[in-house]
Amino acid sequence: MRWKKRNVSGIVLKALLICLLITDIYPFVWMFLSSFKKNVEFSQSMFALPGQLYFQNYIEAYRLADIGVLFKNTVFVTFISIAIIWFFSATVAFAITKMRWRLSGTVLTYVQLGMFIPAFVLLLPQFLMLQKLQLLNTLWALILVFSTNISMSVYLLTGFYRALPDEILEASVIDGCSIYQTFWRIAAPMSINGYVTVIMLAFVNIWNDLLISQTFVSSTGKRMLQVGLAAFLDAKGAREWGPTFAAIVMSVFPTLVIYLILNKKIIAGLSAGSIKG
Amino acid sequence: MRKSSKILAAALAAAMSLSTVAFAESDPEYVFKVVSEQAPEVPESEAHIIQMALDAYIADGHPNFSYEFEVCDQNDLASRLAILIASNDVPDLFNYEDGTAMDAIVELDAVVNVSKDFNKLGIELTDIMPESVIDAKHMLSNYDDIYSMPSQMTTNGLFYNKAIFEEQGLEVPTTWAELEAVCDKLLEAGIQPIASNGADGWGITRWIMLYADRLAGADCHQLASRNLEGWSFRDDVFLEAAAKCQEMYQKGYMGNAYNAMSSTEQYAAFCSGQAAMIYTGSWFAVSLLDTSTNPIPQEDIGYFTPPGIEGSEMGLDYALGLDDLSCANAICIGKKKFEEGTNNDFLRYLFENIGTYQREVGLLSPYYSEMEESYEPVQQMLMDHLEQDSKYPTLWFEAKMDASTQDIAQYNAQLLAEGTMTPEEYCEELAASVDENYPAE
Amino acid sequence: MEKVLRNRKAILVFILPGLLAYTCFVFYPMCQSILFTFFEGTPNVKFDFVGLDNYKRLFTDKSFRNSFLVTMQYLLVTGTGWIILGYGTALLLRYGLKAKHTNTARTIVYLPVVIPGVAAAALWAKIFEISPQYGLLNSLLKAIGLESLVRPWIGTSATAMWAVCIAEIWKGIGYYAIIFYAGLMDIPKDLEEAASIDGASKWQVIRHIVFPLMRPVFIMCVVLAIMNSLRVYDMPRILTNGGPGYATTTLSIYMYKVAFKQWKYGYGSTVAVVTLLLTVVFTSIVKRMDRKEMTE
Repeated sequence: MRWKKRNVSGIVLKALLICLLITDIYPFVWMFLSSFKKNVEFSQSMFALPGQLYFQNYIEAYRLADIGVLFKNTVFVTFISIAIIWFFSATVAFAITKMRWRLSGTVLTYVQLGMFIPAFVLLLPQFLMLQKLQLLNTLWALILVFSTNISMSVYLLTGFYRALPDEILEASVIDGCSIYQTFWRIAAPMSINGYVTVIMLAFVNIWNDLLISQTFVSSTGKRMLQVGLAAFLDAKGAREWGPTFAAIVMSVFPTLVIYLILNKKIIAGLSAGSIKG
Repeated sequence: MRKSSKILAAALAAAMSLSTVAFAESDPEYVFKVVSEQAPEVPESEAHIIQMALDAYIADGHPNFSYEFEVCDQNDLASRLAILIASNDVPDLFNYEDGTAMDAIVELDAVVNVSKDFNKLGIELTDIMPESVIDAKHMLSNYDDIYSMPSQMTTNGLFYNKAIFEEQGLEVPTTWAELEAVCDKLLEAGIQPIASNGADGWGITRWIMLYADRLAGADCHQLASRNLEGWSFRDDVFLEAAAKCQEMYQKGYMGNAYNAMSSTEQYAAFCSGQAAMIYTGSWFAVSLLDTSTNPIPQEDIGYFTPPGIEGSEMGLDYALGLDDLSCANAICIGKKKFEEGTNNDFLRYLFENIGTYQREVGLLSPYYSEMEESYEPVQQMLMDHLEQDSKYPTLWFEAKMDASTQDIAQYNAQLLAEGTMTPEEYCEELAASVDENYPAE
Repeated sequence: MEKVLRNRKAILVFILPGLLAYTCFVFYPMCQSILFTFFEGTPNVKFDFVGLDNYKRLFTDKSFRNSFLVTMQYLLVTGTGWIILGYGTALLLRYGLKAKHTNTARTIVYLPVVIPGVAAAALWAKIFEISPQYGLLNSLLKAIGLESLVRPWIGTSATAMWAVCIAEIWKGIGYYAIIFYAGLMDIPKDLEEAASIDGASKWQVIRHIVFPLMRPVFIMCVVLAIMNSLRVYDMPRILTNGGPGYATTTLSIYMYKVAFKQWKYGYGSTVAVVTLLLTVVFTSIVKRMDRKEMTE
């Protein structure tokens, strides 16, 4: 009796899970297939497979949206910002969790405050500041804004460092390492999973950002990917679905690849960072 | 009628003086900045015209001149400009919504007073456009002076698919009741009568305006927008008009997807033959000429002004002369850069030639040009309409409303159309918002 | 040992670069934004001190009240959706699948999280479409014979809010599922095994062992859900632009409109500060409730 009940509920659960996975993945498949359709095919059934692999859409989208330039800018900004975010958050979180000083709790709360602020609240003040620094309409303006947004990273890393056993650090100090060496040679290598998580989250944030990049940079040659994509959607979106889907697929692709590569480490990092935080 | 020869001479003279300047001294490096709603790649856009002029100007001995376009979605345009103005970085040229929306920018002293200062370019407004166009701009402005240049010549009305009308044995309606009868017949035949861009809000409010103006005269909605001469949106005229608008949407004259339909989808609904009529402006002609998106042959497209209401005070003839000049797009000149003067030479070139470029791509232009008029049939039809019929120019529904009232008018219109808000509630909320900003005397 | 960990100089070296950058580019602008709430107009050009007028206005402004309610609804629907579905998915991943499949399944579940908001919204606009062609949803309804249900999902005020919420939930489930999943992975295996040997069913193990242990993760997800649903912007902006009527105008959209379309920067900042306050209040309520129950 019990065995049977279990089996039935197991089937129901599996069915549920499969439904969920299908809803998660089907829109992607649909988008991917649509990117190979010719324009005329869009007036036929939504579910139909493309009649052929029409790569022209990709060539068209690449040329029209100037995707090469968009990628170059976005990669440049994303990588430098990520490096800075890593540096800022790894050091700040380390000092907050592993070193002993009175204000560490206060500083953590102060930094976490940033997590509550919607990005567009800061737009105008930041704009006025960047203008004074004469950085407007440069990629450095974006790097500055992205790389100072460290609240989430610090929050996650404090959780992660807390999970590091103090004894290991103590042993290293007793062995005569300075605090800097301890951080660099002991704590950092042990925190790779945490760093990967933070870096991945920052990557997704910056790569997918629209609001900030369209506010601080205006010239076409310095556009970021999403801004270019939005402009492309505006100009062509309603008429040329094929190239539009192709452009979306291309913009999503790098994030997907990086996610697929780092997938396991992110789970490990999240688990350590979130639970003990 | 057009002062072609005079203009030609002026243009030649200008061109000569330009070229002498160009060769006498090399220009300083200058980047001309344009912020626009549509990308320069969109052929019917202002940006496209401006880019044509820029390319020609640079090729014509100004190698140090360059340009940058920034395309901003309509919803982000204001925010972009707000930031640019706050940081004292107003572009050389930009698009903005004409009418009361412009006031915020005028108040911030960001744009050139065209009436007073345009002649600093060495030409007069009257050299490049007819008086009637200048008058229309004055009508739009809430000040004594005008603060922007016109973009296109527009008129709004109903385009219809002649083939569908013929198939169904329908005639162009001459009264509002006939228009509704036509819609009923089309509905019976399973054809959507009118394509409407309800997602934009104004696609719906136009019907309130059309009906109210035909009941009580062209300026009633403008007066009510400011609580002037005793007019208010609480008046029966507007209640009746809002009720009529609701009735038309509820009966299904505009299909069922109107609130999710942007203008692009609206155009597609008409061009694909799904809808028999479409209410929009003359800029639609550019889309109609594009055979890749519009399979309907030009001679199968007709155009008429929404007819009058039988038995109304204003009568049927009055309605025929009503011309809805609604084109909310203005070209604004950034004040600071204009006063610095480096861009003046190009601006003169632009406004002396803009008429020619507009005609080249197929837009109806408010500017003079030395170019021979050669219109495609669809454009000729609109041109004829503009020259013959328009006697009582009027502005769109929200033209004289402040920004928050405009929002209320357009957002609530979607609810009115889908039937979740009564005409009484609609008019009351509108009037209350007007009262807040322009208290009744 | 103590001396090394209390080294003031080292603490400063670690903390100063990050803290300075954060203070200059995040904290200081935020303070400026709060200052702006006492002014009206456009900064640098015409910005007049108005005292508390902007705050008083909140109480009489019907559109504000409306967008406040919409935001609360959004918070409730998407927040609950994220938590329940995210938790459920995580449990399924952990206990309902063979180990060799979890990796693939997990990857798929997380997919919607990593794609850009612009792309996701464009995708859902196509799904809900009714004209000129039926989109995915309406085509599906037609295919299974439910044509009477075909409707403009994002073009009717009765369904628009739900449609936007569904799109938002879809995009967010993976994020919470992964955090919950990470939490589940941390529960010691031997605890569960011990319980199963004692004859407890899978469900009993989950209820009596897993749920209590997952409490801190649950609280964290609730806090994250509150924060994320209060600041939501992309999805309603691109899908419905706040309409029809004001059906999907959240506080974030309303603030953007006030500040930039009506040129009332001060009032817009005030609405923003209200959002900020709401987030702080809600999250601290959740945390306080948590603490109270723990001590009881």
